Amino acid sequence: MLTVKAEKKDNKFQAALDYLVEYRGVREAAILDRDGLLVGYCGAGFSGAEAFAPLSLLMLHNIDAVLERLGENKAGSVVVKTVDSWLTIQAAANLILVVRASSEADDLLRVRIGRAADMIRLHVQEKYPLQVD
Amino acid sequence: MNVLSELNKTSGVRGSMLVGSDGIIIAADLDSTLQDETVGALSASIVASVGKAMERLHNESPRQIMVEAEHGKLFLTDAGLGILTVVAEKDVNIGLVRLEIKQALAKIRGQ
Repeated sequence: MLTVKAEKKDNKFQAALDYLVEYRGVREAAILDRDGLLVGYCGAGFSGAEAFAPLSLLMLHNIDAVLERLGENKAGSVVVKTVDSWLTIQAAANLILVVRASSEADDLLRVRIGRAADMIRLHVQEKYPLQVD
Repeated sequence: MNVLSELNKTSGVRGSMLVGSDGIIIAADLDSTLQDETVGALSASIVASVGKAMERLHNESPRQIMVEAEHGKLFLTDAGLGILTVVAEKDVNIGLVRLEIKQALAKIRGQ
């Protein structure tokens, strides 16, 4: 039991995801690498991580390709609002944070997403310093 | 189109346009550094690709897409007869832009 606790405490990616999912209205959150592979996932959404990860990355790739044609760099974040939910895709170092929330969530969630992205950046910087842009 | 010029008065907004889902421009009022045809075609492209992914993911279509890039923000909103695209500066007041877009949509739909 103690071992499990220690491992959980040390998993800072999971801590960032937990921080997001505990917020009102957040259904699921995931961390992906740039190949669409799942680094971490938390939530009880019906879409499941298998579809959530590659499709979110596909959206980001398509938007980046469009931005490149406009002479812009890669997107820092993308927010997609539908009738009853919103999806945020946020770059965090060389990883991508994806959060899906219901319309119950308010705009303060943006602050949490920013903080979670900082947590991920910091963890990547500490653990893999040479891989950070 | 009056609606677009009203929208462009919002602080930090660089221009706006109404574009069909096929990328054809219905009306445009962008600043001189932005090309109408390019922004129009690319807006339609973003909405189409995000729409396809969202439908596969949750069977929902996007109402509004906001893209934050290094030099600015792009708001793409479903306006019924097309896509309302707003190009804004990086540090624009997002809440204010959203409010102005809402008002512009009401006018567009009422026209």
